[in-house]
Amino acid sequence: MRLEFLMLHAKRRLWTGFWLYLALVACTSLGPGDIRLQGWWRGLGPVMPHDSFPADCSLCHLGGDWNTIRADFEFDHTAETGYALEGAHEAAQCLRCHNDRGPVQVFAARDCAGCHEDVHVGQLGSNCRSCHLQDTWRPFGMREMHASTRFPLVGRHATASCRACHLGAEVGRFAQTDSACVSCHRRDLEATANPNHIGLGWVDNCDRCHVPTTWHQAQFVPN
Amino acid sequence: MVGNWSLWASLGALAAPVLAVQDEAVVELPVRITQVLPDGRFEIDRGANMWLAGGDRVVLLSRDGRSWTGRIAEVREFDAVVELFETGADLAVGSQGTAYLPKARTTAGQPVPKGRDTAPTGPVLHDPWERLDEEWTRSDPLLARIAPVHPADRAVRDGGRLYGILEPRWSSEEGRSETWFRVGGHYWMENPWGRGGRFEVDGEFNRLSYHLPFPEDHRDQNLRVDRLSYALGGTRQDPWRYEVGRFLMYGMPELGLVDGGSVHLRRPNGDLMGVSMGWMPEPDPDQTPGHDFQISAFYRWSLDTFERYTAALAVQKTWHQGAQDRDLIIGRMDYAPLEGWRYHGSAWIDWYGNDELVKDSGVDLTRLRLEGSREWQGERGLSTSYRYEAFPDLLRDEFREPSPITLQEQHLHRLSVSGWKQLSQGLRGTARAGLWLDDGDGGGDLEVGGAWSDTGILGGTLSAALFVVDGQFTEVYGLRTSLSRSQARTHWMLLYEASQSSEKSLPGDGNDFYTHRFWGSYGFSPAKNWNVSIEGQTTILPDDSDLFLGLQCDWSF
Repeated sequence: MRLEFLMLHAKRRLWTGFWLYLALVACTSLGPGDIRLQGWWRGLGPVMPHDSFPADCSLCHLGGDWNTIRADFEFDHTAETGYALEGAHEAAQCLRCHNDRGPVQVFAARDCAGCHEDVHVGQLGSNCRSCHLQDTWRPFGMREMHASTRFPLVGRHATASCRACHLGAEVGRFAQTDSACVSCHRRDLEATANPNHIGLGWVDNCDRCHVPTTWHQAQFVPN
Repeated sequence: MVGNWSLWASLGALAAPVLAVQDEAVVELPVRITQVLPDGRFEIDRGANMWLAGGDRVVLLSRDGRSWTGRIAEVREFDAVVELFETGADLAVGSQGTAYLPKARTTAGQPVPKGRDTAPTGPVLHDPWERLDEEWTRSDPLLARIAPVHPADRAVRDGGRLYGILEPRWSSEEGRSETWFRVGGHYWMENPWGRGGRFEVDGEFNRLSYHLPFPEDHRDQNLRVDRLSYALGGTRQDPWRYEVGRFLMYGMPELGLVDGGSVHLRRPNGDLMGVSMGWMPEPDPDQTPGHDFQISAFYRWSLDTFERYTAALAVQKTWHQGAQDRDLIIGRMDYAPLEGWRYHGSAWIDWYGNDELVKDSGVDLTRLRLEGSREWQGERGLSTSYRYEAFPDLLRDEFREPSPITLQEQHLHRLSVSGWKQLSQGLRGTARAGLWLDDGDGGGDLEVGGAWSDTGILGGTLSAALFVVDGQFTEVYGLRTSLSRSQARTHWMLLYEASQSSEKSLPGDGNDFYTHRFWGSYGFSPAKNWNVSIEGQTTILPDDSDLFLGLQCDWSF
C-alpha cells in the first residue's frame, strides 16, 4: 500500500516536472537568439542555391517574377548536383524538396522521413525501402516479409488480405496482432454448430485439429 | 585536317589549366552556355563587360566530361559567341566552361563597353548610401544574395494525385470471392488565402464486396479522410508553426493522427518542440472520430546543424469517451552520419495507475525498436534490428480485443540480421536470419540467396533464395525464384515460390502440405505523370487454389 502511494506521488511529480520543463523551454525560446546557426534562417537567397547557375535568369525564369519557371525548363539533377533522382522523384517539382522549411540536406539526412510523413506512426521502423520502391508507394513483397515473423503466411493465410488480420491495415497500421487463432476467427468459432465448439469447450489450441489449408476440414487426434 | 585540329584542341584543353597556374599572365573566367545557335556555335554568358575579346580561347565541358576547345567569334556587352574547332559537340544550355584571357587586359582598368563613354565624373548629387554593399567579388554569382520571397507573397500553387485500385480475388473453395475497389486522392495548395499557409486534403473511398457461403454475402463501403489540414509557418521566415484540422503530428508522427490543432516552435539551435490537442480517429476503415481525446507535447533535440543526430521525447495523455485511458511516453533517437553506421531507436512506455485492472501499476515497456545499418560504398551492406512488443491495456479500440491473459503475458522479442555482398560484377549474394522469443515459445528464420543481373534472360535480373522458417505454429521450407527488370518507363517481375509447410501441433500425415505460388506484375507509364500497374497471383494449395488480380492507375498533377 505504501509503495503504491509513493508510486502515485512519484508519477504526479514527474508529470508536473515534465510540463514545467516544457514551459521553461518554451519561455526561453521566445527571444530572438542567434538564428544564424541554421543558415537557412538568415533570410537571404532563394530557396535553392543558385551559386553555380548561369547569369542569364531567363534561361529558367519567365516574366517579371521569380516564381514562374519556363515550361521547357529542364535540369539534369545528377550531372549538376551529383545526386541522382530516381523513380517518382525524377518528375517531382523542385519546390517539393527545395522549399522554405530549410536546406534540403537537413531533410535528406533523415532519409525518406525527411519529406514523407510516416503514416505507420513509427511502428514499422525507419527503413521504408524494405517495403516500398521509389516508383510507387504500393508496397511489395509482403508475403515474403512475413516469413521473418513468427507467423509465416501459409495455406489460406497466404491468400488472405492484410486487413483480414491487421486492424487498421487500410490506414497503414500494422501493429502487433495477437497470434491466437480466435483473435481473428472468433466469429467462425461462435458460428460453428457441428460440433458446437463453444459448448464442448474447444475455444483454443485450434491448431491441434485444424490445418490452415481449408476452412472446414479438421483432423481429429484422440488424446 | 580535322584530326590535327582535334589533337591540337585536346592538347590545348589539357594544357590550359596548367598554363593558367604556371603563367600568371592568363586569367581563367568561368562561363556558361546560354544558347545553342543554329549554326553550331554557342552563346555564353560573359562578354565585353568581363574583358572578353575576339579570338580568346574557350574550353567548354559537355556533361559526359569531354572538353571542347574553341575561340570567341563575336563579343557583345554582356555575352559572346563561341566557335568550336571541332563539330559534333554534345553541349547544351547550362554547360560550363572556361575562357582564357590575358591578365594585362584585366589590369588595364574597367572594360569599356562599345558605344559607351567612360564613367561620368563629377560631384555626388545624393546623400551617402545608407546600406553598404555586401562583400562581393567578381567570382561570386550574381544571384547569391537576393532577398527571399516570403511564402505569403508567392503565387498560389497546387498539386496532387488521384488513383484507383481494383483488387478482385477468387477462391476455388466453395466459390468464395471478394472485390476491393478503392478511389483516392491527395490535393495540396500553397498560399491559398494569401498568408503563406498550406492546405492539404487526402482521402479514399473504399468498396468491399464479399461472396461467402457463410454467413452471407455482404458489402461494405466507406469514405475515409486521412488528412484535412491547414498549416501556417514552420518556414525559415517563421519558426512558429500552427496547424489545424486532421493531420499527423509534425515532427513526431508516433503521436498519431489528430483532429484538432498543434503549435510548433523551431528553436534557433535547430531544436523543435510542439504541443497538440484534439481527438484521435480510430484506426478502423472509417477512421471514426470523436471517441478518444488527447493532449501531447514533445521536444526534439538536434545535436548538429544538419540534424543528423537527433533525440526526441514525447508525452501523450488520452481519454476514451471521457474516461482516463493512456499515459504514454515515447522516446526516439536517430544517428545518421554521412559515413558509417546509421542508428534508429524508439520506445513506447506506458504508465499505469493504481486503478489499472490487468497490468501492474507503474511503467511498462510496450514497444522498443533498435536498428543499425551500414553500406560500404556499393560493395556490401548490413542491417540489424531488435524489436520488442507487448500489448498495452487500452480502452481505445487499437487492437483486436486482446484477452486479459494476452495483455498480461504476451510479448515478443525479435532479433534479425540481413546483409548483402557484391560477389562479382553482376552477382550479389543476400542473406537474412532472425530469432524470436515470445512468452511461450521460440523460433527463427533463415534465408540465403543471390541475384544475377547479367543473365541475358530478357535483360532481367534473376534472383533465387532458399528459406526455412520455424514459426509459432508452422515450420516452412521453401524455394523462391524471380526474374525482374526495371527500366525508365516500365518494370516487370515474375516470381515462383514452392514451399513445404508442417503444422507443429498436428501429428500424423495431415500436417504436411505443399504450396505453389506464381506472381507477376507489370508497371508502365503511358504518359507523363500517369502510372499503371497490373499484377496477378495464383496460389495452389493441396485441395484448392486462389487467384488474385490487381490493377492500379494513378495520375499526378
